Amino acid sequence: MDEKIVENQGRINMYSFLSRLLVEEVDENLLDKIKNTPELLDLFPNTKEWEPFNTKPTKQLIDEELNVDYTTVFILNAYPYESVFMNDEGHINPTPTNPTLQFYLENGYEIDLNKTRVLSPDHIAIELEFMITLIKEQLTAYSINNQQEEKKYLELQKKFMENHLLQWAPIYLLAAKNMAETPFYHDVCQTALEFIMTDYEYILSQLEELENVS
Amino acid sequence: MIKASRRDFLKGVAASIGGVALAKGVFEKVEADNKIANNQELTFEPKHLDYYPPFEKWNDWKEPAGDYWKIHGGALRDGVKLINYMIVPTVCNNCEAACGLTAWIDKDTLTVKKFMGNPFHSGSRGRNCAKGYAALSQMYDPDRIPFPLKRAPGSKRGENKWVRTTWEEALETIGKRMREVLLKGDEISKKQIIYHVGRPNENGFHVRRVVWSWGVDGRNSHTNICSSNGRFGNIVTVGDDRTSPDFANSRLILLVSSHAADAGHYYQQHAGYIADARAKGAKLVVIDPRMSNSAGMADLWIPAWPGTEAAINLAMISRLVKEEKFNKKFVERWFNWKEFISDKEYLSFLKEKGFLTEVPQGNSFDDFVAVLKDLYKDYTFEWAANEAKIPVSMLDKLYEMILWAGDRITQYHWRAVAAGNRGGWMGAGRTGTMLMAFMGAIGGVGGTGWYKWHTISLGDKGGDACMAADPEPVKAWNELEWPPEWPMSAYELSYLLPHLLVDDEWRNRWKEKGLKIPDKVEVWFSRIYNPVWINPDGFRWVETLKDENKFGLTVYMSPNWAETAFYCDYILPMGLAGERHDQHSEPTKPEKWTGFRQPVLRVALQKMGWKPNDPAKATLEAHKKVGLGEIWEEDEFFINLAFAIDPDGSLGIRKYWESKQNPGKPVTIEEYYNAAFSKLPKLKETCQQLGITPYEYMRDRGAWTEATDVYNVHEKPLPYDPEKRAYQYDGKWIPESEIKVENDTVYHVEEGGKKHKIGIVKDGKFINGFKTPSGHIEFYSKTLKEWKWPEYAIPIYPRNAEERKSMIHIVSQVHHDYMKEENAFVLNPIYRLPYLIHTRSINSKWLMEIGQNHNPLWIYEKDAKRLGIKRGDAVRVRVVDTLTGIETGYFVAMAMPTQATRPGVVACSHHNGRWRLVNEVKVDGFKHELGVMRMGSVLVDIQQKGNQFFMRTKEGVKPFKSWQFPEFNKDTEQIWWKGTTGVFQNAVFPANPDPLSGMQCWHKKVLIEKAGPEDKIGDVFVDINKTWEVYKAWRDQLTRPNYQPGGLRRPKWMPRPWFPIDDEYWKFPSA
Repeated sequence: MDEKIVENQGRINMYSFLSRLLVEEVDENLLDKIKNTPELLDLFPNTKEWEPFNTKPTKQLIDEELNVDYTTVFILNAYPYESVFMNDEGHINPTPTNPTLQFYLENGYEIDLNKTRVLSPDHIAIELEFMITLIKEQLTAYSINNQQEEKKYLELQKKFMENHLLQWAPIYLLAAKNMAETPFYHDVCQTALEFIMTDYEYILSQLEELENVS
Repeated sequence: MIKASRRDFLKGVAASIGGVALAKGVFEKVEADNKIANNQELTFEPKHLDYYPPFEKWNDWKEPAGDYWKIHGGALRDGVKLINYMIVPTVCNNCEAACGLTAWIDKDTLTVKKFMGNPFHSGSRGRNCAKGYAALSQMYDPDRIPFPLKRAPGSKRGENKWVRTTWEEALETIGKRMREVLLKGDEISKKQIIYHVGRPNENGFHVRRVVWSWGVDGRNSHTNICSSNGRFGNIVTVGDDRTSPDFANSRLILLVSSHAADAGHYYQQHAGYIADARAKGAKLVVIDPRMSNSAGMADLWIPAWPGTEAAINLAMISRLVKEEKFNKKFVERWFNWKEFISDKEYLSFLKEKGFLTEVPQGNSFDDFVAVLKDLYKDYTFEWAANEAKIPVSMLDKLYEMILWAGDRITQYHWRAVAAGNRGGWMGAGRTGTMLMAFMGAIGGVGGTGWYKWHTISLGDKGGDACMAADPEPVKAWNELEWPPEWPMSAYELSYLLPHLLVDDEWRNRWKEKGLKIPDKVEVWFSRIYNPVWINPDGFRWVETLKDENKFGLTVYMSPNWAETAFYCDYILPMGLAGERHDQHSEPTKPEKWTGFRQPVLRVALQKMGWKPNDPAKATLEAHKKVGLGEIWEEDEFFINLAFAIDPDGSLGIRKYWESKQNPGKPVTIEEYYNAAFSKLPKLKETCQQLGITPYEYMRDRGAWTEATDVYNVHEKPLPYDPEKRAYQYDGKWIPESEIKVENDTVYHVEEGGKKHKIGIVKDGKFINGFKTPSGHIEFYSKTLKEWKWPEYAIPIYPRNAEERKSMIHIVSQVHHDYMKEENAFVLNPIYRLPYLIHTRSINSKWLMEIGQNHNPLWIYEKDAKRLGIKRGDAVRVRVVDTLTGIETGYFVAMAMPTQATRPGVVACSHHNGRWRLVNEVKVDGFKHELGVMRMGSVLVDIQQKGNQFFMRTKEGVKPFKSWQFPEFNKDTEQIWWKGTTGVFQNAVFPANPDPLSGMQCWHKKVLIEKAGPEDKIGDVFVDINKTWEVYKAWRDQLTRPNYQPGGLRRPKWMPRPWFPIDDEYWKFPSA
């Protein structure tokens, strides 16, 4: 398979994985998959060494450890919404005035939050999912050899990262990482942080390659 | 790890995630013609919080429905409901601040969806408090009275038997009865029609022109239960009745038992300006025994003993004078010190009283300063701290702040200091204003201006649209409102109406002196006024209202049920904030702004092309059409009533309400208010440029600011027109030939020699000065001296227990001298709650949910511990009058020990504790029962044994299903609050008027004890024979009637609000 497609599919997978981990509590299937896939487990270096992770049954681990930590960090204490970080008031802004929502709308995307339980379209998981949407568009353009469109969607990714995701997500993830009491969510935050930072560089390098080609 | 080999990672680890990746898939791509492109009028990214739709789009503005967003998540897509709004401005009616509102009307359903602020309103600046936004819940109140009600034939008042009637029948019956009374034409008949208004929230239409046009002395207000003491001290001192502080530019904000930053006058506008000032470094000081929210935010909270505020003010003045740190330039220019220092007889009187050591020989300013030092030498900080029961260090801090603030000090003293205490006027407007005056903080930027400087009053000025402009002065003096015992009362003694009506002994006493006092009111209107509940001695009101020999025809005009309505003959459902007309202006900042309250649905209908059948009843027709009910409003009602009273014009009333444009027809609202608003020169000029009428401007924008930066009006020259060779005063041009100057005072001399002061001479110019007899700030009030109160003619306060006995008239009835018993406390009932306004918010489920009728008794923790009282305990609060020692009754409240009230002072707001006699009223021929105050009152049982009344709560608030506006009110089935901690305390309070101002002195001495097993929270017991004895004692032992045959009933310079009384009737009958 084309290397570019593999790499970008990997990006989609990674964004999906992180989005899923952050949007709601982990379920047994997902946790078992992590436990049983060495490549994935490599993303959780501290979790690997965590005794309950290795001794408790999956459901018990989720109920007694992970869900408690998820609620403490992401629901009660560190609200994973851009508006909380970017507005002086520190409130979640679910209204039409939300700039992230405007970014989606202005670029031709509607959003249906009924499929999730998040309160506002600027939730970190939704922003990560928006990246997936843009990467898919980029790949579609690439598959029909439309370089102009491909570049357009890469630039959109860059713009969205610069104007939104990078503006707050690193700080947020650092804060959430420090607050997490389980190695699992500590690792989730650390992995998300690293991935977002490196993915921005990857976008820049792809754009550079396109420039060189043209 | 990721960073190390990015591409490898993506190809390896990331690719392996594969099927685990389960993003939610919330995004959906839309085509190029997406919704946002179709809805360019929607504004998604306002740059400021105060964003409003552009004015040119107010008639057609689309916005997504709020609840739809909540359910479906926030994106524009197919199915999102866009509401077609028309935005129509109005003015809030829930308190006196008159903040701007805009009604957002769904043009498809003709319902108001929400009320927001009005950005054109320069006072409220587009902002509102909870009460403003709650106007919607009042509009669609499940217990709204849907049509006029009439007491069922054969039933008695209070039995609550009602029949449905029509507005036409009500107009005819009331008009006919009034006509019969007016046809008598004698002096008595001019005192038998009384229009009794609560907070009027308008400037001149009803309070002035309507009643005046009837030719009766029949305007009665609520002011003496509210603010007469607040006004009186200022009237005496500067000739204006309340401060208009420039809070925003002030350096020191003094709230004296006012809580303007959280609930009082003129919340929320004042709160905003106070916040602005504090952001610039201003200091906030709150003097209040209770830690209000304002006090909680203050830089300094001084919990002075109630009624001792004058001692603090005088101690500050004493130190300023002693250290000569007062503003000498201002004091020399603006105090009437010359009048004072040259009155050697009065100075000798002060010496006799022991206040002065020596009477100076000279008349210079230095002599005046020397007298001040002598006069105030005993008012030391130590003395004041002892009197107010506070640490001296607080006074030291306050003094430092005063010196630092200089002439940028603002003050508000409208609540408890004034309304709570006998002599409260001395602590409020007299010494309080004087303190600011000594610093020169009067009139300038950051200082304190005055009500009349900053208010536009022209609701009565629509005469140009009518066949006749202003009526003649009224030929009567109504002793039922202005009894001779209180010749200088700031307003009518309205809460004494039942007392005066039933007191034959009093009537006969004055009858012997030639006064003609009726023993019955033939027609009584009560408008947004609920005397049974809000006045002291409520059961006296009930008893008298039930007596048809005392009250003939009684008409209750209100949007909602109230305790008084149970005892009336008609209940006429009137409009709320967005359903009635008023010109409303208030002194909230150094500007002159006005708002226009209007029926928003009628305006919307008319803009959409609808035309009423009868233009004079347009609002009523509109409200019926949109399904609001047979809701009318006062302006159109009174205009039509004038035609019902005087159908052929023979009584001379109709002409004041007959259209000049369509003779024979009632004037329309548009004609009337266009004439009124045309009196504003700058508005008129702007409208000429815009090509619209002033009425259209106000209809569409709702607010106008005629003048900004209104400072130092007392220094302004009288406008002079060299062509006319005339000076302007009060809007009229006075020819030079009619001007006369005597003793540096400028008079207008009318034909016949009658003269009025219009200004003073300073630096050779005619300037405004102040509205006092001297034109200056009256340190020395000759009026008080001449009207039998010489000892209080200067700012003064008794220095010791002996003086407190002889100067009892300015000593609070709750002074600590009176607190002898271990369980004796001061009860402070008069503070506002930010979400309630007296009697007018019970129709809002939203405000009731916040308020819950919850009304505990605040008691200082250590006091509670001493008495063995715990949180939630029922306590019996026995009310004792300190003049007579009479115990009038008790109420049972729920105790809340707290550190937020000072030791010795308990607090229980009388803005709560509403009650109802029934849950619903059945009206024959109407399929639904009408709910009665079900969201914020308790159902009570009242037992009467002779003169004793006992009230007990039967049940509180319960959920119910509403037949009225069912969609809006589907949540009334989820009501969770019970409202059973409130108590109706006013009934136990006797009427005890301040001997000078007439103010009901609200604070009470109470004895507190743990409730017995038979007591229940909410119980009220009162003996109205005892309240009667207390009232008589206050009247007979404390007042000083100034009766002389042929003499004046009241100082002429203290005008009677609101309309003129004929000179002959201003005097007592000659012997």
